[in-house]
Amino acid sequence: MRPLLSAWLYHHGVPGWLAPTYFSLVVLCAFIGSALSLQLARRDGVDLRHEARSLAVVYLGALLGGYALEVLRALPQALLTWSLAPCLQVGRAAYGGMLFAIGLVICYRLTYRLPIAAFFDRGMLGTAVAFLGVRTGCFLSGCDYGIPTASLLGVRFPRWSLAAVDHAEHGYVPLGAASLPVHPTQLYEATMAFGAALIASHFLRGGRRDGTAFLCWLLLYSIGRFLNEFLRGDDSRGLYLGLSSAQYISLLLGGVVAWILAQRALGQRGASWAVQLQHEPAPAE
Amino acid sequence: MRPERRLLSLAVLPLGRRALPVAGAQELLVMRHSMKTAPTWLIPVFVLAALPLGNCGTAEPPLEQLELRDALLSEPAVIAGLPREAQQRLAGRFWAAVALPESEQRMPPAEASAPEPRLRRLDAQRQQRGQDAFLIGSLGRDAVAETLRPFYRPARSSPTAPLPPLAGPASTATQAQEARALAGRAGAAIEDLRNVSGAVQLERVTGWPTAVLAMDDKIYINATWLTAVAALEPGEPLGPAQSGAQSLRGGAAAGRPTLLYGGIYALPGDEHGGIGQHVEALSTDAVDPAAPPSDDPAATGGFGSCSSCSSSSCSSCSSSSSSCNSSSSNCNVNLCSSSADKECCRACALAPAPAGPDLSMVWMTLWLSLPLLFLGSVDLRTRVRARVRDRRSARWS
Repeated sequence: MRPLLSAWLYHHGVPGWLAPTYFSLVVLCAFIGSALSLQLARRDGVDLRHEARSLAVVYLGALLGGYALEVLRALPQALLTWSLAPCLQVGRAAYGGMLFAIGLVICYRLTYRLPIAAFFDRGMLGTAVAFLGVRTGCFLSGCDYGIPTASLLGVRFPRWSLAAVDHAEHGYVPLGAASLPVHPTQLYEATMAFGAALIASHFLRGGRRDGTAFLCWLLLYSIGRFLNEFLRGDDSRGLYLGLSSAQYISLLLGGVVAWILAQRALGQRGASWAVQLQHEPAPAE
Repeated sequence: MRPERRLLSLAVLPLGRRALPVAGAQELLVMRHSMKTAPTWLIPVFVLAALPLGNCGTAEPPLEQLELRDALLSEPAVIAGLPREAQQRLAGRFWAAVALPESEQRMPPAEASAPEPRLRRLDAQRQQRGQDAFLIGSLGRDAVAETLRPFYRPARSSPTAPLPPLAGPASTATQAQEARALAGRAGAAIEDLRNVSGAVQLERVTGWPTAVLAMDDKIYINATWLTAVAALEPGEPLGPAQSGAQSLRGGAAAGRPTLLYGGIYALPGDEHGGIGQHVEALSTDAVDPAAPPSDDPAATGGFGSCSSCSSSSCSSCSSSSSSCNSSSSNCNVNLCSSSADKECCRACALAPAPAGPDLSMVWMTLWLSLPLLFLGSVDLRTRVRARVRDRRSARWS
């Protein structure tokens, strides 16, 4: 879509190179997300040093994790062919970035005995902004497209885009033509992540930072992502027994979050993740 | 009720009320506060709103609901793979569109003499006008203009005499449907057109944005159209499995002749006649018969994937040619956004690889490290402030 956006901008007297790329949106959203988290941290009276470092860990984790998950997925093929090539030609996975970032920042904050739930709650809005930007970047880059549709929401990707080439391989369009109209699943997901954040942000009111907001966002996102995957048309993302890898992760993640919420709801303090975190020691500054 | 408990009971776990004991007093205080602020009813609304997403997907493209041009451009095997009802609906739409009154379409004569580019040029004009594909008629040419004349006579149910065999690449997958269509109403329409135009030969084509077109001494018949209209002909209906319809990936696609299409679809701003023409002008010679294979990142116009787009051919192109200051993904699809100069993009695309190391990765790494610099500056500033504060307090004390 970016070439079309460039052409549209040019047509309206704006330099076409101003059309954002995937990575420019990643960086832009990292700035906005970090600023949001830092603003909340400042309001909460938290030491900004560790907050900034934690955010840096999250950013690095998200960048690396996106590749890590795809490398893991390509590993069986690499082992079968006894070649590193499948692992070196991978794209990025949003779930990989998020999960790797979560794991890494938990390790960091546990090392320095810093509150975890509060950090995630403060970062929830930033995470949603990141998903909004990254998925918009995917839309402009033409990856993660949906299945063909005749609805009003359908979008044709230009020729030589991934969708167009894929459709040509299936015989839907001649090679060199634009794709059939497809569901803009990237934009659905961006909207869904942002909508989930708007709902979950109500749990942040009154200075509450016990992890509920982030857990709520995770739960809603995993449900929405699971359903959105049914509309995805890019088979290269990996389909196993009728479900995509992201759907398996959604099921797992949703299950874990539901279990945590259930533990909290049942009031089992010993096993409760967030209740434990409420009684964490103050940061060692 | 606690928000988490509501969440679980509504969306995740079928827990009954008995399973959820009353929480501790301290937690209840927190929850009472959050109950006032958190609209938990929004959560099931969100889930219900997202639920239809899971029920919208079908394996087949909805060609019977899209423009007829889309159906005509697809492979015959794709049409044969559609459900029977969808095929019949599509066939009905084709015949209904043929019966609609349509005026002649004129255009200045093209330089190209080959039938396909001439037709595509006219089809591009139709697209810009918002018209669907031209279905049955003839394309004539004189010194002044090329003229597309629609032709339709209320069809008989079958031709009066068997039609001569079709030239062109034959298909084994949809042979039965095509034969059934030629023996039915479609055959009658072709026979009438043949009598009127005086064309001698019949040629089978695929991927053309028309159904039946008489041009010079030939009649070009779109096999996809034949496959579609066969659904309304009497005879043994063929399901997708029987008709040999299959995914063309790697199989049938490997052996079929490569079909190239230089036109584009409607773009934003086309109603003003601007951008569509601009893009079309830039892209008319973009389709190269020796097009690179689809798995080559360069072939996808920089759309290879999220990561490869900015790391492989795209950025190297822009870094190698200072004259082309747009991104090279634009170059690959011949949309030089900054200068609107086709030559610029050509030069950019043909520019030799830079002699030195490819700096695109370096630039991207620098670009991606900007947020880290920002966060580092926050860390540093906070530390400096803390030290200044400590020193001041030490002085005062």
